[in-house]
This record gives sequence, structure tokens and C-alpha cells, in this order.
Amino acid sequence: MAIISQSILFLLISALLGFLCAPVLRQVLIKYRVVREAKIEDKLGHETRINKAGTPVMGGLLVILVTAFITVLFNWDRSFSWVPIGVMLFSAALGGVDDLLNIFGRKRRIRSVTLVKTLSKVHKGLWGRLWYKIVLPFARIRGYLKLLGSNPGKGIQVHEKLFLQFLAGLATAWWLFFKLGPQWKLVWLPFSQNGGLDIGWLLIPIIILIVMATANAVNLADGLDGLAGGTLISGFGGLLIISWFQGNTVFAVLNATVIGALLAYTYFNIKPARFQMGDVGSLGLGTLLAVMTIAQNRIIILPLLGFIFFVELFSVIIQVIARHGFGKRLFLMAPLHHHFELKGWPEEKIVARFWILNGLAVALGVWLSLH
Amino acid sequence: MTKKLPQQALDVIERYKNLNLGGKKVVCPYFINTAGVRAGLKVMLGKGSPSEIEEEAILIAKHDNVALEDLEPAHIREFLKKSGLGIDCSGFITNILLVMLGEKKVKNLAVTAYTSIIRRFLAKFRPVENLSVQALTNSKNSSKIDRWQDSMPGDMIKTRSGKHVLLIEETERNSSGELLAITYIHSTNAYGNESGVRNGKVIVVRPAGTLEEQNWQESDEASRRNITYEGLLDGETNGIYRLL
Repeated sequence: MAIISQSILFLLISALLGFLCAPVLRQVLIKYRVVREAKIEDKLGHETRINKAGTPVMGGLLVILVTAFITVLFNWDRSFSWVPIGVMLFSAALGGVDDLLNIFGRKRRIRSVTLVKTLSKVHKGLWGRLWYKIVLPFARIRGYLKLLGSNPGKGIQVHEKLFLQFLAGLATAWWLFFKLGPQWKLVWLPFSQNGGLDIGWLLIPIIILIVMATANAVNLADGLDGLAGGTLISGFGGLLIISWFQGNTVFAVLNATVIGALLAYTYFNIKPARFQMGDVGSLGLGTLLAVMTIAQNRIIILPLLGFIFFVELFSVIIQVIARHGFGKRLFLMAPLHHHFELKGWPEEKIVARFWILNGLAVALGVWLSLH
Repeated sequence: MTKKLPQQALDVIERYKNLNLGGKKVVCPYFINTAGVRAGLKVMLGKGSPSEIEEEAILIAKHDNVALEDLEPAHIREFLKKSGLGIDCSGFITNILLVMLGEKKVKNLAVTAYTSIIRRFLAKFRPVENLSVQALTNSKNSSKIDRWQDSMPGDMIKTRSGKHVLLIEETERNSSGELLAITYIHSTNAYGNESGVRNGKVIVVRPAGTLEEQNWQESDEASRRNITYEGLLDGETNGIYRLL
């Protein structure tokens, strides 16, 4: 009971701090013009989307800062807090820089594969030609990765983002593999008799992939007012319940702190949003969701805890494959929430239904977790 | 005696001539993928079917807050062109062949643009996008008929040395079987505001003469030129080709 009581207390404190800080953060974002630009929203064209021009972005900072502040001051444990908070802050910083560059940055000149190829042949200097020959394979990879990006040429590029997320995943894998102890290497499976599955070093690339995928999945889902926030609440809610059963107070309090901050954030993010999460929040919290699930040894149920995020991610992957492989459009637009928007569903309806679906998936995940 | 393309092919042509957008009938404009993009949506490469073009146009209109129902057909055509929607000559014919011959046969047509085995393999997944005029009229897929007087619906007329192609839609013969006229259909970038999917006619005036010596009837209001006919005169490999 003590663990539940303590978590609820932290949830309330975190929410209270969030509610107090939200108006201040909004004013700061407005003052420094960290707001959604009209020309970006014009691409989507819907009247509702155009109306979002001028809304402050980087509202996710609220959750990141409140969580980090409370954890560092009141819930710090060398073994369990360093990596979740560190990796979250690293990813949030990456997202924050991207947000700022997207608003204030200039369009970056990215050399195409054709140009690099030509330069490798015609550049006047031998070293120049050699250099372009060396970077040609990277230009090709960049060209393919560009397919996954939505705003090529501005902000942090997809390949740069993926590389930095890879580092975040690597840090998590290192922590789990070398610092947390041998029991963490055993991947938990539901209904397993021997406590889990030992996949050895294969766990390292899996963790890296999971961290990268989850961060980007949350980022993709952050396209409608309240969607990412509400869905994250249910995801971390599932983790909180699991941490109660596991009896890990540090994780329980950390999950509760995130939920409290998310409640305050989502209160202000409900349509019409007073601010939007931005990459700072979505990448940071997406990474944290993955790290916490990994740390609580529940990797298998991560697709249920972040059900909507993964559905959104796969809708983008399927759309890219269909579009570039077969020349066809499977959804009217990806991520999936845009498909329903174009189908004529009101934003509130999509968000509410996605919340419900995620809630049900989380319930299933928690149930599995008890077996 | 009139011979026409099969009804399902005629239906496709009618659909291209009467795209249903904003409750109006619009002739599909011409669009060619000059950027040489290989991947991407088929419909954005100038190779879409009528329904794909309509669906994409409606989607883009929603994106851009364009009320198609408030626009005149000419403006809708402009909107389509600006959005990169339309059909090129080979894409138009390939889409007709798809309903005439079936997808399996069209997939079996040789793609001649690539030497790489991988590219040729990948092209099998996207036959419509990869069948150019050169591929359609290549000796692996079709042969030039010896006598133009033997032409029949479904034959292709190659012009501009393989930069453009027309499809014979209808032939008229007298009771003794002599060819009187050919009606063709094509998607062309010529003829200014009247570009896109359009018909032309060849009236046989010298049955014993060459194809070039017949009366080609197609022009636009503005230029009064028959650019299709000029294309026929441009090159040596031009002529009528029949799929093998």
C-alpha cells in the first residue's frame, strides 16, 4: 500500500507543479515566438489545421522539466534514475533543437545523390573528388531515409535524428546489459514457466531498435490536440500498475510523476490546444516510455502500452512501402489519424477513439503482465 | 463497316475524357514525369487510371482547401496540371491495355529502359509506370506492320521517333474491305489549352499511298496546326505497331 500511496502523492505533486508552470511556459513560448507557423500548417489545408497557426509548440517541455525536476530532487536512485532521465533529456534536447530549427532555422542545402555522384567525377581537386566518392554511400542512405521525413531541408535531418536516437538506444542497452544485473537480461514472457527468455547479446540491437521506434512513433502520433498526451497517460498508467506489482518504488514514483505532468499538459493540450507538445516532448517521452518498459522488463507488451503509437508508425511504414514500392496510396494520408481526418471525422472523435483503443490495449498488456 | 476497340477499352477512354470532379466533366490533361522520378505514387507520375486521378485530385483539393464544385472545368484542368495530375501518352495507352489484355499480359511486356536485372525485376511490380513508348513499340513487345492499310483498333502509331504514341480506336472500311478512315486517341502536350486526352482522324485519300500522304485531321483553335501529323513526319521508325 505504501508504494501506491507514495506514487499517488507524487502524481498529485507533479500535476500541481505542471498546472502552475503551464501558463508561465505558454507565455514564455509566445514571447519568444516559439509558435506554429502558418505556412507549415497550410500544407494540410484543413480549416482546423490553419487555425492552429500561432499555437505555441514545445509544450512538451512542461512534462520533461517537471518530471526531471521532481525525480532529481525527490526520487533519485543512482541505479535506476540516471539512464531513464538522462536518455529522456537527451532525446528531448534533440527534439527541442529540431523544434527551434524548424521555426527559426534556415532551409538547409542537402546535396542529392546525383549531385554527389557528379561532384565525385568533376570536382576540380583530387581530394574533393575522393571526398565525394567516400560520402556517396552516405548520400544514398540519406536519400532513402529522406522518405521517412516530413520536412526535408529544414531542422535536423532524418539520418541525423536516427543516429542520435541510436546513441540513446545504445545507452539504454548498455545500462540494462552491464549495469542492472543478470536478471534483467532474461526477457520476460507471459505465461512463461522459467521467468523469461535469454536471447543473449541480441537484446542489445533489439533495445536500440525499440527505443528508436518508440520515440519516432510518439512523434508521429503528436499530430492532433490531446492525442499523444492522452495516449501516453494510459501507457504510463499501465507501467505504473505493473511497477506496483513489481514492488519497485523508484519506477512507480517515476511513472506517477510522468502521469501527473502529462495530466497537466493534456489539460492545456485538449482542443483548442493552448500549446502543442512538439518534438521536445514527443521524442523525450517516447524514449522514456521505451526505456521504462525495458527497465521494467516488459518489452513484449510495449506494442500494447503504446498501441496507438505503433499503429501510427506502421501506417507510415506501410504507406511508404505502398507509395514507393507499388505506386499506390493505402491510406488517404499517413499517419493514420490524418486518414480519418480526411475521411471527415472530427478531431475530437479521432482522439477520443484512439484513447479508448489504447486504454483497452493497455488493459490487455497489464493483464498479460500478471501472468 | 466500323471496327472499334472492345467496350471496356472505350469505357476507359470515356472516363479519361470525362473525369468527374466537383460534379463537372473534365478532360484529363497531359502530364509527364520530366523529373524522372521512379518511385512515388503512380498517379503523380503521369500514369494514373481515371479513378486514381479523380481520387488524388479530390485529396489534394481537400489539402489545399480548393472547392472543386465552385470551379469551371477549365480551372479544374488548371488545378490538375498545377497539382501534377494528368496522363502521359504511354501511360494512357498502358492503362487501356490493362483492361483490354489484363494485368498479367501487361506485366509480361518487356521493360526495355533498364539493363540492371534488379531494376527490371522491380519494374515487374509497376508495369504501368515502366512501359514507355520505346518499350511498347520495341521489337520484344510489338512489330511494325508492313501495310498501314491493314491497321486495326488496338494498333499503335509511333510518332516523333518514339517520343509519342497514339492508339487506333476505330477503323472504317467499305464493303470490299478497303480502309476509309482511322480514328485515333492519344494524350498529348500539344494543342495548348486543348491538350490532354483527345481524338484525331486520318481520312484515307490515297489508298495506295503512304500513311503520311493521307488526310490527317486534328488541330486546335489557336494554332490551327496538326502537330500530331508533324510528329509523324519527324523520324524514320514512325509507323503502325501491333502488339505481339
